[in-house]
Amino acid sequence: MQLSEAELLFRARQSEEQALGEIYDTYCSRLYGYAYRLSGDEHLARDLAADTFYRFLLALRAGSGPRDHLAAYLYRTTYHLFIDHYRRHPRADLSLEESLIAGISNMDETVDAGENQAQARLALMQLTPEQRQVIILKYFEGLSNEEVAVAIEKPVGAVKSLQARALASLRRILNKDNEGILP
Amino acid sequence: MIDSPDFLDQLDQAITRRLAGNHGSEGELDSLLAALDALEALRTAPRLDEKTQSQGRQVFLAQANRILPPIVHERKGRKFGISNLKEFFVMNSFSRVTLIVLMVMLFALSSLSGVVFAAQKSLPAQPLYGLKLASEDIRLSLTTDPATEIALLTEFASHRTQEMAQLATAHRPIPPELPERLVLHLNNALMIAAGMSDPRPSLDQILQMTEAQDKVLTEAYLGMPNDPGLEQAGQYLTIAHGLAELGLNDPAQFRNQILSPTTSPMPTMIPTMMPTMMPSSMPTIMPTMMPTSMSTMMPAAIPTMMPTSMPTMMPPTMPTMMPTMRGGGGGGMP
Repeated sequence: MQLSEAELLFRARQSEEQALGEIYDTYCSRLYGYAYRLSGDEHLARDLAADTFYRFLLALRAGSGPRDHLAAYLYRTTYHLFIDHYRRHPRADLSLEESLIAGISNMDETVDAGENQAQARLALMQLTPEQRQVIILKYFEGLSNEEVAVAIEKPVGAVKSLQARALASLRRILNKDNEGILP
Repeated sequence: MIDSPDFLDQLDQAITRRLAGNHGSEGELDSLLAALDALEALRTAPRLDEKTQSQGRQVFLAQANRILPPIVHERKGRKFGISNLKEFFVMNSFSRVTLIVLMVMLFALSSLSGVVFAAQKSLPAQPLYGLKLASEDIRLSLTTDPATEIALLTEFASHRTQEMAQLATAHRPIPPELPERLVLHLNNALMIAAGMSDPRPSLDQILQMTEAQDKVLTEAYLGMPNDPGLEQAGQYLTIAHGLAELGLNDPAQFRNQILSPTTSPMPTMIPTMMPTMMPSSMPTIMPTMMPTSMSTMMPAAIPTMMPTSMPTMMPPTMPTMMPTMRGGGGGGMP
């Protein structure tokens, strides 16, 4: 029998192994994929996913964990951990955003895994953090506007606005990079 | 135009259609949607293999087992009195046999407790030391009250520093397991405190313990300067002291630093204690004994076995998904 999310979280709070296992099984790959899309780094993605689950347990223990919208909560946590990672290891000469871009530019995939992926990720990293989250969560992770709104702690209207601005920025960035190949 | 509600709704609907696989023309929105299409290259992400995922699941559940409070079912207590005594004499023979077996077991246990008691004075590398650690772990596992658990952890942390001091007095090197155990005790205690509604008495206890044990270590250090184990242990005490102080002065920030998923200016505090998964080596963060001012050192690092971007060293016995050393940070699948 499929448990509702609220029931699953309630049982997780009661330390029920089955519920915790179900949460892990449901979100492990998704968080890993999300972290990978953010970072382009498999090892870091694994670490971020692991840390997200760990933070989730700590939050449950502290009584501050999610009561609903578990997916949004977990994605939000992963994102903050990702930003934290770069904040903790900044390049002295670069801002946080520049560090993100530089980190991604240096990844092996620019050589091995295809220019398109690296270029797309670079473009993504040039968005504002909120725009980036909206695009990844909605477009890649399949979250609804309402779920994205919870994840980024903004109203649904703001999600739509961020989405539009993100696409406009992406169009501009990609046009610049590709000398205007986009329509 | 881009901010008009109608336009935003139109674009949102177009994106929904695009995500549903409809790639037909959307008129003036096509140029924006083309930008979205350009991101398609990112759709492919490597998948976690089953083995890695299964190992991660096991570790996650082990962490949960340690971190989350066990379910405590209230039982109706029965006071022992005359009526119970009367019941004993009228109980059936089966119950009496059970009681006798229990008493024999109790006797055997009390003999064992004599050995355990003797083990409390043992030092690393001595035959009974393993029993000493095991008895500590058992005491911890039997505790459900957070304050009691912190009291035990501070007691055990004191044991570790005193063992180090004894070894230093005997001019014997400090085995790496000692500071490693110490940091786990400290991490656990702080983590549990962060989850309490009123952690002040416990934090005060941690504060006092770290101050007292810092003196013990300082004396030991004089007898055996430059011992890396002593240096590490001193550093861990310093950081724990700083955090306990923060907790007393600014509980919200303390909780936020330790528990919040949104900011982590300091390393994760590990609440798990898995003796068999102790790190084989810990990073030496400071070359000398720590400074006396502690609060400012908080973000430095208590090495943990826990994930992401913290100065951690992972034990070799951990599964492959466990944190890896990566550019000063460590992390890994739980």
